[in-house]
Amino acid sequence: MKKTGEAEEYFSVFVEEKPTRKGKLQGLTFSFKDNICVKGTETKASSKILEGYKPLFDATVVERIRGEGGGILGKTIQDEFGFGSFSTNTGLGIKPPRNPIDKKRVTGGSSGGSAAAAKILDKHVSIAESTGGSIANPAAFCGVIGFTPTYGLVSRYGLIDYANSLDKIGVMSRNMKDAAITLSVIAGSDGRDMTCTAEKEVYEDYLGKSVKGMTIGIPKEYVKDLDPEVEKGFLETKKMLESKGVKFKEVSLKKNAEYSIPAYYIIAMCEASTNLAKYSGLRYGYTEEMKGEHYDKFFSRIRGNAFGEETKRRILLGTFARTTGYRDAYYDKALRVRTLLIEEYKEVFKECDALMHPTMPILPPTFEEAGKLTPLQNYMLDLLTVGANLAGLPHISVPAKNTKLPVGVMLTANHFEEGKLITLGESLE
Amino acid sequence: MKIGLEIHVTLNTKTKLFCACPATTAEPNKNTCEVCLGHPGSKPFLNKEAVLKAVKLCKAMNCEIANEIIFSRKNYFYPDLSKNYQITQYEEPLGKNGWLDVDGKKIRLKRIHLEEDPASITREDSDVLIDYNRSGMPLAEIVTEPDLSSPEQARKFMKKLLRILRYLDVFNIDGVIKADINVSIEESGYKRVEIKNVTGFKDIELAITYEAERQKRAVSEKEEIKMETRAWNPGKGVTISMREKESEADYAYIYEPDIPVIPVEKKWLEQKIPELSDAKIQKFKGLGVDEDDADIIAMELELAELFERVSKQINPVLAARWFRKELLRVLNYNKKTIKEVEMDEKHIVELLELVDKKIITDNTAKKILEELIVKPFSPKKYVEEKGLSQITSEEQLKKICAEVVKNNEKAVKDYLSGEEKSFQFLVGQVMRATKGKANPDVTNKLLKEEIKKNI
Repeated sequence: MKKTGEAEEYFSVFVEEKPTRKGKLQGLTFSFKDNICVKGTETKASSKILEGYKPLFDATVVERIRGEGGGILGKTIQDEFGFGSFSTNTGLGIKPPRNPIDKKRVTGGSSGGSAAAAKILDKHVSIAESTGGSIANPAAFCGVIGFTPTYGLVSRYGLIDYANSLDKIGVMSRNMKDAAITLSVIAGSDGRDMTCTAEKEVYEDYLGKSVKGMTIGIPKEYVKDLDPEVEKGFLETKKMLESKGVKFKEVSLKKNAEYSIPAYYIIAMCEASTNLAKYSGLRYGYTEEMKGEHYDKFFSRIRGNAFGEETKRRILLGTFARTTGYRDAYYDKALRVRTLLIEEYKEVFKECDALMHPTMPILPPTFEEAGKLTPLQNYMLDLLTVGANLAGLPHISVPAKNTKLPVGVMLTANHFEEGKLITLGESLE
Repeated sequence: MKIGLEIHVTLNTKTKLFCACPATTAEPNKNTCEVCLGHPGSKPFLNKEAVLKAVKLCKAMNCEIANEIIFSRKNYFYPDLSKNYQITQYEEPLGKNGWLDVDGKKIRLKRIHLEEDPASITREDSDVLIDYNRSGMPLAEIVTEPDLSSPEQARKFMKKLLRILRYLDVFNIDGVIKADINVSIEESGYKRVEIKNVTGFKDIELAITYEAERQKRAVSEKEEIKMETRAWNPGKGVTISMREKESEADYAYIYEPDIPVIPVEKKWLEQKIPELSDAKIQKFKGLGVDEDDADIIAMELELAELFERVSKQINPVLAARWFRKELLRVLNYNKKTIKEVEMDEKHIVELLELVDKKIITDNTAKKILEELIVKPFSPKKYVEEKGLSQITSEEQLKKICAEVVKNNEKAVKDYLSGEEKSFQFLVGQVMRATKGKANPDVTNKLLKEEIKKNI
């Protein structure tokens, strides 16, 4: 394995498992974001509270990749449970990964390890996960393709939950062909995840097609207040597509621009706070000796000692927003707003094949710059990716060309129209 | 008095509510998997059989059934809750606004819904042991309005509920029925006290009776009745105050995001409900059957239906007597239910015809019945082959009675001096001589005549 030494900082576990059979994926190696269960291999979503935990079963995506001859390299580092945009909220004791392009900068998050692995390893695809933009964000910052499919296309069975109505498993790679083939293998229902009922397609069929005549909408709210280098990369990408016969028009996502961040964070944190309740030192994972105390005290002690700060913050906020007296104003309201935001996207797709805008408004920050941001400033950076994630729409981030630092351009399509994204993405290679 | 019940019933599905683990009894922690153990990455998958049975139950209890099935997470921390939340139905239960009639009074059912059972906890000395076999088992929760006005009425309600559960075949007999009970009395201005987690039929009635008494006594002694939660101690037969948290638990529900909203299908609503126990009892009474007998025969659907078919061909009152006393006795003795026995109804009809026509004695019939439980055969043929017909001819019996009296002087003397038992002995001797075939009434009559003759 070339460059494995350099790649080590992005992995929490190396397994280097050779494939035991042939198939569509032979010749490729895979890594999995640490929140995807690999049987018998430490899987902890970069959290101390699952230190040493070895799942009893493979996630569906792992089974499918093994089944088609994919070799498995290991598990990649992430923000704890997915809580973060820079992979700097890694759990206690885990070193945050550095951007392979410039080691003073962050990889982006929460799938930072996966993005970096995809960037530096040859013939390698990393299976990652997105809740609010965790595939697109690090893809943009590291300069790789990040493919987030429609919610419900890929089974979440075996994915450690962040927010069940938002989590999607996706693909990170250096070329669209590998992404398409991998998607064909992992997509489709498996009878263990009730939210995954979709029928899969052969996504490679969308390669080698022309983008001529496609219409792409640019949401005006998503192309302002950008770093000049980001804007430059975006406009170059636009020119490239125009030269291939793509038509652009201005569209508006006014409601999303204003409400997608609060709606997303309320729903995500509410769901996350219930998902993380199971980590209590009783049945698996991190634990300490029981001191004859009441179980509440024991649970609190374990969770207090093993959860990172951002994790605790989100559990507290998420619990608050669904407590009696606040539930209607926050959780319930956010769910209703979500429907309106989805409808806004659906309306826009009546006149466009896809939407396009930068993935992130800034260039990958240095660790110092990232550390100075308040939690709220952190959350606001998700503005461009959150809308598509909240609506469960498929989206990709592709690297813009000729920029000083990596810049990602995000393309969003309507539900289950991954094909258009594959065609568009390939044309930008 | 106002009593409300919140009853949990385990459904008899093949597997658990959200995973494929078998819903059977087994050694501790054998029927478990990553789903019911709450391992990270596992997801629930709804058991359709549980939904169908719950819909059937809602229908039988006269509920309005929801258009969609929606699950929610009830969040709290406890060692027996593998995910530290329970998947249940909160906002929209499967069934609501149902009712059951008890002694002419309509007992309203607020709601019936589906939820998963937590694990079971056993305390052994200072150890707390948790068995996750129970974790994820399917429960139907039935909530009444506080319409029950006495412990007696509550017992009748529970009895009725149990009948319905049995008739519908939705109830897991290995599971127990558990209830949370609300009791309040007029004397206190209906201050509500909740008794949590009472297990079993009998204890539910005992707990209500005790609590009602406790509250009445408290009022008469000018003590305050606190609105609180109490626990039932079955060993001591008392309710005790639980030193629980000051405030009501806030479960901070969210909709269960792993389970999509499921539309209730028309064909689920069209599932057939058998004629229920009450209707059958009325029907049997109409045939002249005694109320008590009717009630007992109608306890199990299969027995009631067998009786219905048999009583079309045999005098219902006679059939009822035999069903209620002898058939059940023999079944119980063999520890079998009617379902488990290969009983052909035409054999029962044959047997009861022989009894009705007095071709065999009751004793002979009882013995034949005992054999029928073991394997099916034609009683008529059996009686012919073995020559078991009853001897009713006075001519035949006179001779035998005379012999018996002659050969048992002492017994005759004892009888004449007041020993009734000695007469029974003489009857027994006649039975011995006739291999049990002598008609008892004729025997009695003739024996007494013979004895008189000899005085």
